[in-house]
Amino acid sequence: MDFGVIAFSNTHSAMRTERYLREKFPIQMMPTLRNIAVTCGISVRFRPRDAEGVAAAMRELNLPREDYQIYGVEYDGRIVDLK
Amino acid sequence: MSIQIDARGQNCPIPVVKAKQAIDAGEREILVVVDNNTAVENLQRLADSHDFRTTVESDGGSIYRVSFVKAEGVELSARELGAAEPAAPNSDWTVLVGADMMGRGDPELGRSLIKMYFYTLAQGGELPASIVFLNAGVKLPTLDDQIAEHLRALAARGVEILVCGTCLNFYSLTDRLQVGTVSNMYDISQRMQRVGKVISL
Repeated sequence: MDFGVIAFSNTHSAMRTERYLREKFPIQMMPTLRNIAVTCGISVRFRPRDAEGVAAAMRELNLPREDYQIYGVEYDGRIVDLK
Repeated sequence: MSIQIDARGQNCPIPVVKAKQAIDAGEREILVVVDNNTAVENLQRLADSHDFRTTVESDGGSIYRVSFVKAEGVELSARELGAAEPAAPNSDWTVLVGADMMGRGDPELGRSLIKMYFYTLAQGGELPASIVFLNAGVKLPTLDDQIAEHLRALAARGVEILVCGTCLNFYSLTDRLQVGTVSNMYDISQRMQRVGKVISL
């Protein structure tokens, strides 16, 4: 995996996630990749090594589960669903 | 004959303003005495852009004597002399960042948007010649780690990053600059004038 991304169904969930995760992980805000089919244009990028921690933190944050989706982006650009 | 300017104890733009006045008055040899390294760098850039050579003497403490001598045979520009001025390939535009957010409205949304802007810019193939930060925009290359990282990548590809020294001073952020060159209004206005397009955020 090159990097991980969290995509969102709405902007407020994206910004709540940023506030929560930025204290814990070196995340970056990035535009949602064109081949990810979600409505919100903001995604959160994280390092592969933080994948488990980010997933756990997202469960703690307790957003509605349909509000976000976690993906991994491979070096060849393929996007895999991390659940 | 050379003219001497004692600019010790004078903040950011003043030593440059006085040297510029002397240049505009037609002086060909100018000695400026200053007491901080930022002023030395600003004076050197002023000299480069007006075809002056500089030599700097330090007393070993904080006093610097910067001598300007008009380059004879003037056609040699600073760039031809190999004196810095990184050139991004084929770029004829500058990005002017006058705020710490993008657009007007919600500040938190605006800060997310501007992070994404620099993410996108750093990923892209077309680069500006320079990026200028002023007013609250100086919070980005100082306090925002994500944007500082993108700016380092852009600088490594030849984009000049200029940060307003007056503004850093105003916000007490001078010591926290992570990337870029402390700059003044002469440099900033020159960068904007000599490109075909300025994108103002």
